[in-house]
Amino acid sequence: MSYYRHILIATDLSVDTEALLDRANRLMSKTTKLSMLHAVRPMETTYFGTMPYVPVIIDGEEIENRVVEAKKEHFEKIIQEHELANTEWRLEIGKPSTMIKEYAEENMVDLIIIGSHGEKGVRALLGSTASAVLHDAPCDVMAVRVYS
Amino acid sequence: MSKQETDKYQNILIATDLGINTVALIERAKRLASASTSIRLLHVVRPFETTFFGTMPYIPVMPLGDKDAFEERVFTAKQELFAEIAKDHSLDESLCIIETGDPKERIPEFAQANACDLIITASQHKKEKRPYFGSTAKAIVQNTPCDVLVVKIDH
Repeated sequence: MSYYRHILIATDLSVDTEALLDRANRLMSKTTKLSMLHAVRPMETTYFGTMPYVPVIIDGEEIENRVVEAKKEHFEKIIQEHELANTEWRLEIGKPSTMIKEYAEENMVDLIIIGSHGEKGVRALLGSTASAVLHDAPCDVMAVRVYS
Repeated sequence: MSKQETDKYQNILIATDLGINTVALIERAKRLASASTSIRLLHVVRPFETTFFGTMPYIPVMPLGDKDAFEERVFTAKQELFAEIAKDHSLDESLCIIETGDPKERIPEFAQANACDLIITASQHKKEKRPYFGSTAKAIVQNTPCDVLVVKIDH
């Protein structure tokens, strides 16, 4: 019986990553390659897209760099904590759903594991990133319900 | 991570539209199952009225008054197909169920009632370049508390 060959965990680096890693463990064989990807939304789109005024940012790039640095450290910590030395992990800057799709296409990923937010029992809206990934993914997608 | 968490899925539900992709879904389920896992197969038939009169701009030519008989025939044919699929893939036939209703509601309800921990369903991948994610698959992901594996199928 063939298992997945390359699993990609699309993580937002929150505590939910734990649940995603648990699912990956369930679905892996010894030869499965595991990768993790976190995409940082570029700051311009986060701010100028949603705010009705222009925020006072003296050095936008500097702040963005610092955010990326901090996330990198956090990511490394997660990798160490879970002893994922053989796991390829990537921090990309861009729209998460696009970055996930591109990575999956380029690296022949055959399963993407992603968290979908929602409250129990409530017809919650599916996260927009999860929704976009489900739409565009070239491969199977495992949507894991997370509650944080 | 506790040991229990890393255990395999115990109760897998395959939600199928009875298309040829059913085989791919069953294959995935077997991949993820352990010896003690029960695999359920569910197909939800939309009531006839909503299928036809809801989407068609004209009234289909049907002998009047014979609607129930027609529906009955469709249902029986599907049941036979289902039994065949179950036999071919050595699934427990008593766990292969056909229901009538709206798939978007019935599938999550069924999963909850049977304490399923994973739903496997297909996403329609139409011939167009842009992949299309079916509205039923989306409704399932939205409305269930358990994991959902959406299988991409190229036609």
